[in-house]
Amino acid sequence: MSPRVIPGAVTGELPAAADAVVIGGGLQGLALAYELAKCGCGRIVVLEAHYPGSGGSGRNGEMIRSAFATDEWIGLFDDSLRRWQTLSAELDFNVLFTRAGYLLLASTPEAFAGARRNLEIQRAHGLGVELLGPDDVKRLCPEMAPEMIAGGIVQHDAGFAHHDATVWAYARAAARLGVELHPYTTVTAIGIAGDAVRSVTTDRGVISTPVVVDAAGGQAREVAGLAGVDVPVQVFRLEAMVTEPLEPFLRPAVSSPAIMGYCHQTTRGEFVGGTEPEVPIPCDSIRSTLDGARDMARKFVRLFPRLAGVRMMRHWSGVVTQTADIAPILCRAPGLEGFYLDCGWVYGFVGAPAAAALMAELIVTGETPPTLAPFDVDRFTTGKLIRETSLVVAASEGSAA
Amino acid sequence: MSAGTGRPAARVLGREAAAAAGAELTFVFEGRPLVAREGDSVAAALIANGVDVFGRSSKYHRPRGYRCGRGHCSSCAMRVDGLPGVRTCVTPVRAGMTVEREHAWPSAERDVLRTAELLSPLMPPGFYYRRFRRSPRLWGLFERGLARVAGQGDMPSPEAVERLGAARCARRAVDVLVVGGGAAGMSASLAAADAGAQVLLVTRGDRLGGGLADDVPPGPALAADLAARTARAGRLEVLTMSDAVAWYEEGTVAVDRSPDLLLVDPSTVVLATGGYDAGLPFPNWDLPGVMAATAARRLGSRHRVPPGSRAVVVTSDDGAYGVALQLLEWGVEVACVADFRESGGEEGVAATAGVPPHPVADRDVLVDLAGHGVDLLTGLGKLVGHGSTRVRSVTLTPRDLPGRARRRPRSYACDTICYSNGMRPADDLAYQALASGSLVLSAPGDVTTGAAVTGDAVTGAAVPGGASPGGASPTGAAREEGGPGPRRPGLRLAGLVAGATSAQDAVAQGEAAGREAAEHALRS
Repeated sequence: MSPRVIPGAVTGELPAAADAVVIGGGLQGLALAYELAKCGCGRIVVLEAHYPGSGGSGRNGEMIRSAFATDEWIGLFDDSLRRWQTLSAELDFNVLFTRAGYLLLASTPEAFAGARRNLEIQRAHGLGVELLGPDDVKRLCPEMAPEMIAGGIVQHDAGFAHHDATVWAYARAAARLGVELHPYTTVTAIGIAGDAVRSVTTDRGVISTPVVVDAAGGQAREVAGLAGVDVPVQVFRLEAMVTEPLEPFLRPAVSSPAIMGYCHQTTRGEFVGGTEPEVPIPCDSIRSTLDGARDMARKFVRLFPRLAGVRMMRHWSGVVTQTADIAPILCRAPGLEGFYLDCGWVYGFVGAPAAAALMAELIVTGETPPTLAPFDVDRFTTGKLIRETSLVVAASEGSAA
Repeated sequence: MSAGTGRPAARVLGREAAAAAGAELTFVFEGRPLVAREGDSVAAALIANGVDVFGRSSKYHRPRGYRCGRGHCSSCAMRVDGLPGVRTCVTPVRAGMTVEREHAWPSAERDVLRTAELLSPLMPPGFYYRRFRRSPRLWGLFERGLARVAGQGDMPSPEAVERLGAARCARRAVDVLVVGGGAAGMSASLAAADAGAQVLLVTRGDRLGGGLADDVPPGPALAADLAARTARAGRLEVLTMSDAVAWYEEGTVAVDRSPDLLLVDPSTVVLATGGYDAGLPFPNWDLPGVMAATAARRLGSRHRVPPGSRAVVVTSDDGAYGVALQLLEWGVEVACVADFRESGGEEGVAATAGVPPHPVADRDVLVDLAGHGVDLLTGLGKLVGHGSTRVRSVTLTPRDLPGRARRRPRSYACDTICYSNGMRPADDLAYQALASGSLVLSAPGDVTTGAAVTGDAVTGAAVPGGASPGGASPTGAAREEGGPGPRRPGLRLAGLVAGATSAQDAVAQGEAAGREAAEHALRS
């Protein structure tokens, strides 16, 4: 893709100096740059190794919810969900947020009991959730296999949005506020003087800056490594697919721990979803696998039997960077002034709007917003991991979920 | 023509044709029994029965018809035996088959949602990103409405799902997998088998021959000879109706043999997948009756069904002139062959024998066409199609040429527009194999593929994951510029996908690719 046709991208030389450099032109980086610009942060530069949204931002399952099971997750993600409700107006671009509801499906009595327990904390946070019995779920999803239905929780004001549109929307909105987005620019070194960052070196020149944010997604660990900072993440491949368009048969977004999968039907009729293997193997390949295709086909047909015979139109892969507790890392880097971490995301699409605003607040004020505090990287040394249990993520060995 | 049964089955006449036509059979189209011939595609059978409208477009519900004829587009997708989205142009019709059009209400012939286009000023491409951005509530309402008109087919019927329960998935290893049953694919298979490799040839078509089999002479004879040799050869197995749809990281190629799936683990793959018609955009280019010249050729040559009764051929290459001659042969009136290229210059041929100066060098073809009263127009500037459920006429506007009198637009009544605007390589599987980075082909004809060529120029052959023989290669040589992956079969390209422009090229490339593939496979 030529830089000229990339929304929000600039084509000129890199500036010699900036007030902040965000490494990573995915959703996290672009949203953060936008929020920083809104705070009047001065000259902000976003560096993207490929095209904006080329990583996980354009490869995720597009689903949005805040009905989790811990105060920490609900705090961050419900802040995000509220922002999603008006994000199109905020960014002056329709990100196609579709409030079709989000069903967290329970397929066993045990899972249903777990959902019932989670409901209390979700209600305490004022979430618009409802406990559904088997018949309610069947009414909501008439094509779903009855044997997969023990009940579930539906969050009414959640749903899904268009991931590419969201990337474009943030890129354009950031550009309007003067953010300089440089695609096809690779960071090769991070300059440090004393205990503070001073510059970012790229294959296109050096930018001196007092603030650097690592929002590099799948490359976050490598980028942090350039600054001598350890980011304890593992990279996993996730695969997803989209079918040919079908008449509407599924209204809400659905996630199912029983098949370790998530899916929704777009307004255009395509059925989009992904599944995860029971035991993930660390892998940074973004090639698609036969195993992945078969896993998705088998599981989605199990969930919706009449998908048998429907063609997969495309199938793709992306990577997530998973921490030990699967929660993101959102904080100032320990021991290095001016270096910030916005990485370790698995639920990055839904979390981006809030994380960006709160990280901008941290960078501008120097104070960690309370919502962000639990996501500090120090939790991996202090052992204060977040025990979130409602994730549809295959946990790597030794992790909490 | 609107209803599906008004016109009796039109067939190309002639002794040879009658002999080639298969036995009659009956299938059910939207509740009505229709007669077809064995060997027909569903699309050909419908056209023979006078059905023009095959479906409706997603947004404006514009009528869609038979278009590419090769299973490359979705224009002819219908519900067949309870399965949605079946490409009828590559699906053989069978006795008792039920066929229905999708995505229209109350019917594809008269779709009331067609009125959606009246609102088109409000709905330019990508309109939804701009409209409703200020009002989540309005967007919510609109989105619910949009979901009703969008979508295509309904989910598979319970009977179809039940039937698919019997589908099988087999897996096998081969030395050389050849994808494509045209001249290049057959030549590659023969050469590879001859060199001692176990070869599997898969083709989407229901017979060997590819585009060559439907071409003007001597194409069909050459195709038949290759097909006969392919059928006889040892160590060489052919699977028709077998569509290689994916090449996974594991090195496995998935072959769709609906309803079954075949997984092939090859040591080396030869892609002889041909090309896609580049298409030709013009106002109303999506009307039924507008089709690729090769699609018209397939209807007439293979299925003995004339694509219409009066055609205009629009082209930017020589190939379409052969199609024009074939149309005449099948009894289709050809009103005009309009060429985007200029007549003049050194390459042009001077006016003789009533034929004006022309970019086509073959005088006989031009004289033949002119003798049939076909207008020959060069320097075409633009064209506009007219019609509601099928093209009814076309307006051709010549370009203004410096130093020449301004030429006026011409209109022709026609029910068929055949376009030929070049091919682009069907190299999807090669990209899947490489996954990231670029595919760089260097082949005779200087074909380069790949949007972002990031590395140094490639001149030799290379085999992803395998030993690189290096040096110049007569075949399209591919090399990866992404990172290494797990097991990687070798890759060779041959034929149109590698830039071949003639059957002779395709055969030569196929033979070289087959030999190299066998060498690589037997070495690894």
